[in-house]
Formats: sequence, structure tokens, C-alpha cells
Amino acid sequence: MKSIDLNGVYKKYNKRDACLGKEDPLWALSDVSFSVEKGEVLGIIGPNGAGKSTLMRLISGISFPTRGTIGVTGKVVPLISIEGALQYVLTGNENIFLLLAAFGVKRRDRNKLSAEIAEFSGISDYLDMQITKLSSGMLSRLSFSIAAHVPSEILLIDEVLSVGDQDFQQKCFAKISQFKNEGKSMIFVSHDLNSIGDICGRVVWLDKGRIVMDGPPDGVFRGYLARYGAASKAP
Amino acid sequence: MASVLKRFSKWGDLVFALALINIKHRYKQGYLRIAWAVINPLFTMMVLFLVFSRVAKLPSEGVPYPVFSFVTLVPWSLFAASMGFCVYSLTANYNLITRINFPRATIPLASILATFLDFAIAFMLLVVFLFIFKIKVGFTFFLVIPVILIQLLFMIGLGLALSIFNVYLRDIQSALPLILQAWMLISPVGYSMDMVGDNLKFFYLLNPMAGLLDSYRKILLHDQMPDPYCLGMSFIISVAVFAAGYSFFKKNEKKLADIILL
Repeated sequence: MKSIDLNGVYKKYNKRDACLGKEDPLWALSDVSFSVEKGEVLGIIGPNGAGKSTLMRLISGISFPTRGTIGVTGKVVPLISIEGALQYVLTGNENIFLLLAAFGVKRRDRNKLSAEIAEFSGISDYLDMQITKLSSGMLSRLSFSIAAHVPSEILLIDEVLSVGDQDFQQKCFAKISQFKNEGKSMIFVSHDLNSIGDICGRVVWLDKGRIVMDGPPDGVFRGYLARYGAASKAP
Repeated sequence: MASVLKRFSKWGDLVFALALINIKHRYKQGYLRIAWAVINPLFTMMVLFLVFSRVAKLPSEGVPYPVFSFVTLVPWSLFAASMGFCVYSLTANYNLITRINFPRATIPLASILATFLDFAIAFMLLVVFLFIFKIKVGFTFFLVIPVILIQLLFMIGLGLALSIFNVYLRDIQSALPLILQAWMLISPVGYSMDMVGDNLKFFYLLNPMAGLLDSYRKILLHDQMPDPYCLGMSFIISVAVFAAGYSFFKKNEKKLADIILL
């Protein structure tokens, strides 16, 4: 069964020229097709501006393709990028409430999940303070903990290594392997081939909005390193 | 209908949470905080009292001018404040919109809900005024509820549309305060609708706030039923604005995340 199915997806952004009013189209994605089976863990690599974030936004239903179709079966949750969605006037607990509500978590599940999130984050003593008083590491912990507890079938994980201190990173990886065992489909996005190679069974290499290679990690990495050489860390 | 209720039970909490942010934003670092909910209409009432009653000596339907104008200023403030919040609600919440996929209409709806807190407080003061000025209040009092609901319908329709307009064109949020100023003058806030000539009445009532404000006066000051022609016009136009605003919002909802960042 397919969790995600992209068919000839194109995404155009119109960068409007403010002075002349001319439209200057930018194709962030061109003819991207691939699918992710249920329980599969797919890695996506590519340099900055390759279209990785656009792709994540399309899959999570925040933005929509200009051409082509995207079929998604199950609830999609982005695991990292929601840190930017935290609201600075609110306390930690209020943020948990808000983001769970924004993910459509039902009221009766919310209290139980809030307790689990507080526990997992390891910063439960700080959650009744306004989050402007929290350190950036604590904010990463908070947002990851929220997203990781939203009931989901598909997870989008962007640069997972940037979360919190070593202690918490280990906790995150443990959580991610737990998701893998539970049979959740996952997409990892990273520049770091090491972390992708560890966890993904298949890798898509994206460049300038097009798929360059799609296959097992070893083959794709070889091609990628041949193109970018020492700029990327070898696995 | 069943699906609407189901959606509401799922996303209603989100509307509440977003309204809470709006209220916290406004009052967190103020000293007078929620007192602004009554200072606002009271201050405008004083200005109107001086200009319309003392200087221009306009009649006020046989009711003391302060309560005559306060009765319309409270619902007018609800309208003006909620439109003021709606207009930049989507642009201000881009950080949620570009990261989480949820029904976007919850954002302007939350802006409207948040102003109902101010409205509830100001309305309580209004009731105190009615007592102080010994206005006879009967069972017609409860007719304000359908009037408020019609106003709500109008506010949702216009608020949804305004929030989208502002995503395309940020000039809207700068122009809105001016529009609302003029709008207040062409609405019977500081003067009685009796002063509008019969030949102009139809055009005057194309502004749904006119019929609504007059209905508040009829119900709360005169213990009368609202004028069916006035309220009927308001109702029809409010339904039309709601339908137009809602479908306009739906049409543009999917493009929001891309456009908001341009």
C-alpha cells in the first residue's frame, strides 16, 4: 500500500518584479514522481535550493502543486519545522494546547498527550513560563516533543541532528526507531549523508527541482559524492 | 449540516486557542488591560456627546444622549474592532500557516471571537447604563440575541474576505481605519435613523450596520420590536456577504501559504 504517491509534480513560484510588474517564474519542482510504501523510510538529499522544503510543504498539504498530483494516505506531521510555529506570547503548556489543536488532535486525547509531551521534553518544570524565557535548546525540545506525540501515519523529518543536546538527540533517535518499528512511513531530509544512510532504505537525490537519482543509499551516495565531492561528508 | 457540526467540534478548540493568543497579545503588557474594553466606547461616547448633542443639538429619540449613543457604540465597537483584527489576522499568523496544515478560516474566526470578550464586558456596562437612566427593559430584551447573530454573520463574511484581501495587498490594513471612520458616520451610531429622509432610506439601509444599529435602539431603548424592513434588509445583505466572503475565502485558501511569503 502506498502512503505517498507523487505523479509528475511541478511547482512554480511567481517572483513578481515589483517595479515592472513582470512575472518571473521559478520552477521549484519539475516533473517529480516517486512513491513511498507504507512503513518505508525514504531519504531526500540535495544542495540548498534543490526543492526539498517545497516538496515537504506539498506533501504536508500546506501548499499545492502547480501541475501533477499528490496522493497521501494518512495523517502527515512535520517533525522539526514546527519550531517556528511556537507562539511567543504563550506559555509552554499553552503552546502544547495550541499546536495539538492545530494538528486536529481531539479534545479527549489532548490531556493525556500533554502529560506525555511534558514528560518527554524533560523540561516540564519550565512549561508554565512564557516561552520567551526558555533557551533555544528548550524550544527545540518542546517543538519536537509536541510533533512526536501527534497521532500520525507519515512523518516528515528535516535536519533531525539539529535538535537539542546530545542527551535529547539520543532520545529523538530512539523515538524515531520506535516509529519505524510501528510501521510509520517517514521521509528524512538532510545534507548529512551519515544520518540518512543509517536509517533510510532508499534515497532520492534532488537537484534544481528535478530527481537526479532514486535508489538504494549506496548507489545514490556514490553519484552524489562524485558530483559534490569533498563538500559532503562521506558515509 | 452534520459535517459542519463535526468540523466545528474538531476545530472549535483551535478557534478558542487562537482567540486566547489574540487577547494575550493585546492586554499582556498594558496597565489598564481589559478595562480598555469599556474605555474605548466610553471615550467615543463623550466625543459624540460633545459634538452631536452639545454643539449640533441633534435629537436623540427622547432618551438621554449618553445612553442613546452607548447602545449603538457597543455593537459598533464589536464590528470595528473585529474587522480591525481580521484584516491582518492571516498575515500576522504566517508562521502557523506555512508550517501546519489546518483550516485557515479558524484564524479570522478567532479574531472575531476574541472581540466578543470586549463586547461582553461593554455590554454589561450598557445594562448598568440602562438602569441608571431608568430605561424600561422588557422581554423584548432577548431579541438582541438574533440581532447579534445577524451581525455575527455579516462580520464573518466581511472578516473572511478582508483577511484574504490583505494577503494580496497590504494596503488594505492601512486603509481600513479610514474606511471604518467614514462607515461610522454613515451609520446611525451618533444620531438617530429618523433623521434619514424616506427617499434615501433604501440606499441608507444597503449598509447592513444601519438596520442592525437601529434594531438595537428599538429593542433596548424603546422596548419595541425591530422594524422588519430595516432588520430584513440587514439580514438579506448579511447572508449575501457571508456567502460571498465564505466562497471567496475557500477559493483562495489553498494559495495562502505560497502568497503570504511573497
